[in-house]
Amino acid sequence: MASARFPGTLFRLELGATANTTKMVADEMDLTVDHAVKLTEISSKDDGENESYVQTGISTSIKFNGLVNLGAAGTNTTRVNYGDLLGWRESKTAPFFKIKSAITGDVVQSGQAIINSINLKATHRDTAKIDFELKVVGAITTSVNA
Amino acid sequence: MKTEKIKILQNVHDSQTHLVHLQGETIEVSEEKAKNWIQQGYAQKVEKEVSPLNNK
Repeated sequence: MASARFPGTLFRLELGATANTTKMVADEMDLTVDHAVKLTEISSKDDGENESYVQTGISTSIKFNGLVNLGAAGTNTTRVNYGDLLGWRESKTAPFFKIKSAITGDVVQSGQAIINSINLKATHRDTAKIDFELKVVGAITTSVNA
Repeated sequence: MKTEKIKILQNVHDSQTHLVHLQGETIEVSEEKAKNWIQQGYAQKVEKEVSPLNNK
């Protein structure tokens, strides 16, 4: 069986106030999902040189980098914009996320995440850029796009 | 529209409703969607319950 290669361009981040109203985030450039494992060392003097660890937690962060969508909030109903992100930050709510392509059979990762940081960078003679980080709360559900 | 009851065999993201259905859930979907998902191996048909009175 041939192995599947997933083009990164097709995998996009969607955010929304509810699980079934997620929208693509406007002007996405890069998306990074970091799955980290927290380990605690439990080596003692009796263990000699061999180190021992136990897994004490897992965490996932989603990092987004893109161009600032200057469209007024509410006028673009198909995309999440800068205002939506600020709104979730102000209301301290955890938006629902999906990382998916539009292709049937591709993997979809979904869950909820809180906004950890939003950075806006407006450089002279350059397009304004935004990057933000989300921390996943709870489990991530993996499903198949059908 | 005719519908059919199916049991989800693996987590499925419905690209029409944007809902995620988890493995083990029993849901009612259109006949066409049920046929497609069963064919793909995402779900199985739920047989209609037979009343014990009629099953003697």
